[in-house]
Amino acid sequence: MKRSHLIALPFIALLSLYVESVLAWPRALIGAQIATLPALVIFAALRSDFPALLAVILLGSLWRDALSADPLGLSLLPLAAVGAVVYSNRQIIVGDQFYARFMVGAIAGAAVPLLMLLQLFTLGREPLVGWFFPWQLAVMAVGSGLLVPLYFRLVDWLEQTFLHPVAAPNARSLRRNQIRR
Amino acid sequence: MFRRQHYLALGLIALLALVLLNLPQVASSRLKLALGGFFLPLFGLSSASQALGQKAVDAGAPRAVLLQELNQLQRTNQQLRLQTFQLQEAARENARLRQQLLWQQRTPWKLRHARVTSRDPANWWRTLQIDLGTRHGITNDAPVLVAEGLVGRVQRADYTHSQIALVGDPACRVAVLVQETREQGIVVPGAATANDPMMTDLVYLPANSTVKAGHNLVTSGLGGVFPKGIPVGIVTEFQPSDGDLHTTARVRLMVNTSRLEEVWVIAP
Repeated sequence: MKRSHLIALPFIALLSLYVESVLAWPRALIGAQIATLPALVIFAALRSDFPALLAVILLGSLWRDALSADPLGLSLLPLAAVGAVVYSNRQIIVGDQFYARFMVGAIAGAAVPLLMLLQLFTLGREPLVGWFFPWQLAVMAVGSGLLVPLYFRLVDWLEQTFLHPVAAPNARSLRRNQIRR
Repeated sequence: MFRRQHYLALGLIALLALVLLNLPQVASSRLKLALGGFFLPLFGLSSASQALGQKAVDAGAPRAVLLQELNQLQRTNQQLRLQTFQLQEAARENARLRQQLLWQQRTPWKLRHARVTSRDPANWWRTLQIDLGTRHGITNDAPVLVAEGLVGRVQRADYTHSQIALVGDPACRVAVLVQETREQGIVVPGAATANDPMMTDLVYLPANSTVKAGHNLVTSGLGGVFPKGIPVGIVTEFQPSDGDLHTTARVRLMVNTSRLEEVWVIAP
């Protein structure tokens, strides 16, 4: 089941980034673009195995930076940091609760842009950050928090649609096997 | 939960990030171009579906409306052609005078029409991508404009797509001229730009500047990137300086870049 995530999650990342870059109305309406990648990384850290998480972080961040004016590799470290923290603590996060998913997603949605900005300032760039930035950060955090449960629902639906459940052996076949032995 | 191989993988990611962030500009651009190629089928699909949708809308338009639009366009066309006669005469006169004064002749613009395909996912840059690239003759720093005024410049020209830094982005500073007073300055992102992309600052105005709200800004042609005379914005607020060397004015840009769907690029 988890092996399919290795292919499905990078594909979802590609589609999410495409939608994020094409949709202009969130920025015009609420003043900020919601980042889809932190939420997907949180989903992968809570639900998938390590290779799938690594694939989302690596491919997602490179694709995101290719679409942006940010230097290539800028989002790699923040996403890896957030993904590693959540993955290593996923036993103590109640990952099946909406509230927990929302909160972890919201924290990641705020932490990733902050870490990216920190790197940009360290590199000597001049990003457009003003008094309006706290609002943008809040929008990104809430948006990311809401996206995590959505990703859970989407992947659940995809698994139900495309993957066959493993058939449990019934009582008769078990008995037959016992007689043979 | 974390095993040794996990730490190793994270260490490799950190190393990769350091390498990528320190790549030379050319190598970074080529890598971005290669990675951006993954989105090309999606952009292609989007433009094809838009064209199909437009065709369907065109096919459903009533004949009476089309005829009315045709008549209106014919009238506008005639008016523009008459104005062109006048402008052609002025251009000939200008060329003659330039020849007499031994000034360099002005070359006419070669405009290429482009469609906006995507916008920057980051909230701290004002850039967008268009569907023209080096294979269409687009080069870095080519000016981008619409009928209302200046949009920006080509920041990175790839093979099939180009990234445009919009006016108001830190990567697109424009040397301008106040049409009414002939004073010069530079349009840069201001404190309000992050909130409202149409608001920028005009800096390096002389201390004794007579600029007023409502004055028009056009490109000055200095710097060699933008040709002279393209409308950029209107001064909305100006406060004279208290003993400073330079003053600053607030400017509202002519073009609302958040609603752009199509642009024109001046090809070299």
